[in-house]
Amino acid sequence: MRKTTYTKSIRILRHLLPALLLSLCLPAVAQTKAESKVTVPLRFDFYYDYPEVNQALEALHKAYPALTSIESIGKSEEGRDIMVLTIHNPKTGDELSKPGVWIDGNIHGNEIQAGEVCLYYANMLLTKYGENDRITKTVDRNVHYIVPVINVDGRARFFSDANTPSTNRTIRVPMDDDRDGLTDEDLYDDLDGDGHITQMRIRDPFGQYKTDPEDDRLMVRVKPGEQGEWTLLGNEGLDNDGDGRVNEDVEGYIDPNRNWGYRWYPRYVERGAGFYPFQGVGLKAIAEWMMKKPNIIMYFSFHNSGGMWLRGPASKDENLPPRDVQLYDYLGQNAEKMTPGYRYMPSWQLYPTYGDAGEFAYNIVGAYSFVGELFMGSQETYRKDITKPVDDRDASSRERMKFNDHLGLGEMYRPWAKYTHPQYGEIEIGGWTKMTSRLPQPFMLTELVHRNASVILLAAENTPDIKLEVFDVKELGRNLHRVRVRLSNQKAMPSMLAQSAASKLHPQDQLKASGVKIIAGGRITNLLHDKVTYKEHKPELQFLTVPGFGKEEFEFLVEGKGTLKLEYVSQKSGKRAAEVKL
Amino acid sequence: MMNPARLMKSAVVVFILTQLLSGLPVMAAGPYRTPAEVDAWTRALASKHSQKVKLHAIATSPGGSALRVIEIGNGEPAGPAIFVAANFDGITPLATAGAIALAESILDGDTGTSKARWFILPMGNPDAAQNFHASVKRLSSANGLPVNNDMDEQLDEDGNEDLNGDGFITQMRVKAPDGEWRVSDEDPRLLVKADASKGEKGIYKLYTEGTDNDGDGQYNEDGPGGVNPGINFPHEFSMKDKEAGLWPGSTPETFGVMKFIYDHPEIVMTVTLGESNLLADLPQEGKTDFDPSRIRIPERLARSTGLSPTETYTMEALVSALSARYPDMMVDENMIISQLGLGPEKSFKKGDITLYTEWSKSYKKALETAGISSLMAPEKPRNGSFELWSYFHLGVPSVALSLWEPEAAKDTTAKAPGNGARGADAEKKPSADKQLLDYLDTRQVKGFADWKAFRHPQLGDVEIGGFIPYAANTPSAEKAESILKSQIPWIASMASMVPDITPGELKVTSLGAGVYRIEWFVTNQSRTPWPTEMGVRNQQPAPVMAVLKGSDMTILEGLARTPVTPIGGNQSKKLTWLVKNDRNSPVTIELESPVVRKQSVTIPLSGN
Repeated sequence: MRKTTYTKSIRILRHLLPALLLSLCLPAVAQTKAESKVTVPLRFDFYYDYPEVNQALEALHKAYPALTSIESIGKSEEGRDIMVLTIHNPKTGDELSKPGVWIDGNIHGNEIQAGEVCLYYANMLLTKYGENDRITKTVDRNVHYIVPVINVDGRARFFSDANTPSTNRTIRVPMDDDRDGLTDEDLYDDLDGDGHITQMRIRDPFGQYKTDPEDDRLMVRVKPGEQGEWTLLGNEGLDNDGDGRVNEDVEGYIDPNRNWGYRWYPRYVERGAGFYPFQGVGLKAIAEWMMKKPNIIMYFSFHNSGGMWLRGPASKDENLPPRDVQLYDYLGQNAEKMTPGYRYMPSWQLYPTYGDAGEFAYNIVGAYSFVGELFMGSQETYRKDITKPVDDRDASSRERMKFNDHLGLGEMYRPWAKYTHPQYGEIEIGGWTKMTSRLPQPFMLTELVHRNASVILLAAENTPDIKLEVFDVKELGRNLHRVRVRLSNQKAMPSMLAQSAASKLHPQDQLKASGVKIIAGGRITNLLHDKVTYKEHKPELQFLTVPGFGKEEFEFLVEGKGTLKLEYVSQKSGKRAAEVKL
Repeated sequence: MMNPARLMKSAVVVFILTQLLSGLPVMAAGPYRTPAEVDAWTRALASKHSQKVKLHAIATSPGGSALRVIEIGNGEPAGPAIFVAANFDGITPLATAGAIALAESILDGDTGTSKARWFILPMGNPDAAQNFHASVKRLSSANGLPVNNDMDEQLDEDGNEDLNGDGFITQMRVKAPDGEWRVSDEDPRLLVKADASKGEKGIYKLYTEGTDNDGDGQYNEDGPGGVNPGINFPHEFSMKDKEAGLWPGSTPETFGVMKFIYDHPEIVMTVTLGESNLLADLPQEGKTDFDPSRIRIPERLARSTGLSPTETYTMEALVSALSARYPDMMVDENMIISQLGLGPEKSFKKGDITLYTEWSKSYKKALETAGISSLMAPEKPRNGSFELWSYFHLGVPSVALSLWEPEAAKDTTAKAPGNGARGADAEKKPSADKQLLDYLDTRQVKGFADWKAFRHPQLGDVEIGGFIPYAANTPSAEKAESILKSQIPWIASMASMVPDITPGELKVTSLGAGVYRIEWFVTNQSRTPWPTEMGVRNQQPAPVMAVLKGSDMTILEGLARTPVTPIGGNQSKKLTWLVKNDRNSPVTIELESPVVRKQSVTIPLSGN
């Protein structure tokens, strides 16, 4: 085992040395290149690595200091900063009195384009502010909290380390995946040193695969009775701990999207959960920061892949109040049209999850929560008529290979090459590289980020916009007035979640009447028939939620003369005031 | 705020006092200490026993008190440890007194740490524990975290008031046409809910003592604080209870405890001192619908695994089918159960209940020695409690002890007062409230405030009375002394019950040509299995590994790292290897685990 470790470090050194020397010789060149990439307006024809994401946030802040602030929410397990960009126009009101829109991405380290969606949205809001009416209104009326990278260690290491398209999702808390008393002791190994963890295969006449007769880079499953040619050995790696298994205890593994506090279950129930909710430091810092922003009413978290708009509930045994589903349907059905091919659905229909971030946002933060699953492999086409789906698995692999050849400049795939493996002997290594399979090729990135950012804009525009008006004042004699007040919502989103009201997460919105003596007060249940339900205690204080595209009406019976002051206070939808002289 | 110099001075005073008192019996300082006194005592203990005691500050309560874990070591760098947590609900001062007495007894005695080290948290909820020492006593488990209990526009605005000035928050009863309560037939002091189906009619409304401070028609519905750390742990956590907090571990006391325990995988057992008692009121085995010999695969899983959703499979068949399909994955029983989505375990496992039953017998003997014949029903462990979390999530034996409940009356078949009782009713066991009243009456303990008329500013004519806070769970100082004297030694003796995994017999057979068969027995010398049946299920306790090492050795059969656990109580496990060792260099086997003191044997392999 010691021997293996030694060889491993020599090997790593051998790969690092040229890069190290290069960076020593050409620091100026490298720097200039990096700086030239990160300028405002931001570009979206490449992927930003972790330092570049932070440079991009800083560049946006530098270009729009009056509308933005950046801060570190906290540190990750490996000590990296988790940065948030706040977009808020202080000239149009206090931060916490505006409906908050939270956007994050890249909670799984490998799902990097999620970060680009966040950056694109920020870039779009800022660069078009004052030029585009829709955007100007949204920036002025809302506050946006944008965290492009939740899993900062994961993103940094996805770029810097050798990976498959699906590795490095975890947070960096070492765990004993194979229960041998050691943590993270059998990692993947980049045997051929190409910076990618691809596949290993060995010649085997009894294997389940043979070379695809149409494209010798691919393999197809053998049919019953056919002679096999290859056995797949899994991802590139060694049996580092000599237990007869390869890559069975890799980095992590706490899934950062299984360790939040809502309906959290331990590891034996939910794979990927930690020992307890918010184990580690990064997620805990993020959750605590979110709890300090009670105005957040809309939450987006971007992942890859599959092309989906997922809402709660995350398990079949939970139900959402119909009023919340109505809002979700409104946004989700619009989103499906703006991102063709995406399916809008409750997340349990994909698979049930516990302790995920979206459910925390919905149930604990009190925000409508969408998870955007970006990217669809079916968009990597090489065919005249893309309206007809390719059902055959082998045909689809061949098409993807042609896409690689003709549109991916051949960079997406490593052809099989011989390798002498210390445990397996003569094998071959090859396959799809890390920046494929779940990530669009950079030329497709701009469209992806724009379509998804447009969905965020639609949701932000539909955050509650409450109007408070006195619509009827009537003298009833004996110094008594009947004052009728209407709270109306111009937008699709209710002034707070029905779920939050049902679970008593936070106080409902309040309508307060003061300045004169309130004899009675209550909700008008039927205006045409003058039906009012008066509140027995404290009639001057009414609790309510204003529905989306709807209204709530109240009546106060007021004695005496003076100015009746009316104040609407909402945790999510800000404050409004009106008064009437009697 | 106290300035540092003054704080220092008072710490010194406490230290000197403790030094003076250390030769005296356990109770000399009075059994019930304030959070500040507990903290001072803790720090004094650490300086007095600086060789054996180490303090760990694990959290600060929302009210600003430090939670310190007292580590009592035995000079060994590793090995099994017991975690003792007291008074998470903040309403059991006796639990804290017990933890203090336990620490002192372990340090004064000479057997307490020979088998295990101790981690003792004497006060899990200092904010609520302060209530016992307040001039007006009230029962509340809420810590200092402000919580809007009634979802109105204000925080913590409507708490209780001691209207009659007797120093206790009791109850108020008010005659009302829509009252739900009537006077109990058992005792005119008690109220019971009227049962309309039996022709009964309620005449009273019942409130806790106080006024409606915020004028919303509700009384004392939003008092100071808070969250109860005692129900803020993850097992069966429910955010529906406002006092449970928003998520498990949302309050620093709980998070600090969870982090500390997972940072110390050598903890093999927990003891909870509080309101529940798992040895007086044994856990029951639950029912399960899951039959491992007839498993049906949900459609979704069937699609992705190529199995049939209409067939039934045995667990063995599933493990082998899925292992063959996914050679890279570790397919085992647990993985399959987790994929089937059966959810978390909710009842104690059969094998573990056997263990509890044995401990219960031994514990009850200790109670008898204290002259306590039987305890009245202790509280059931609550959802989100530390004791349930320990058992279900840590997978270690979790022993919860209430230390004291008022003893049940000797004659439990005594006829209820009143002549109207029919035969069947007369046989009925008295209610818990009646038993408590009887206990208080016979001992002449002032535990019930008789109903007395009071003119309430909002409700008009009311009567104030009821059980006095802490009467049911906090004995007098003298009584506490005898209770602790009898039970603390039993708790201290739990150190001898921890799993004790040690190397046993070794047999080496030379097969010739440098090939050897090694057979090694590892024995658990304790009655306690490691881990528990629940621990086997949740795979949480770290495995004990046998590690074979040799510089020139090749293992022909077996693994360099072989799991020893699970291992039953008083059981041995045989491990075998076939090795080739050409140069006759020594081979060692080491037991490696946080719960085992490092032990290794060297195997001299020489050709013959």
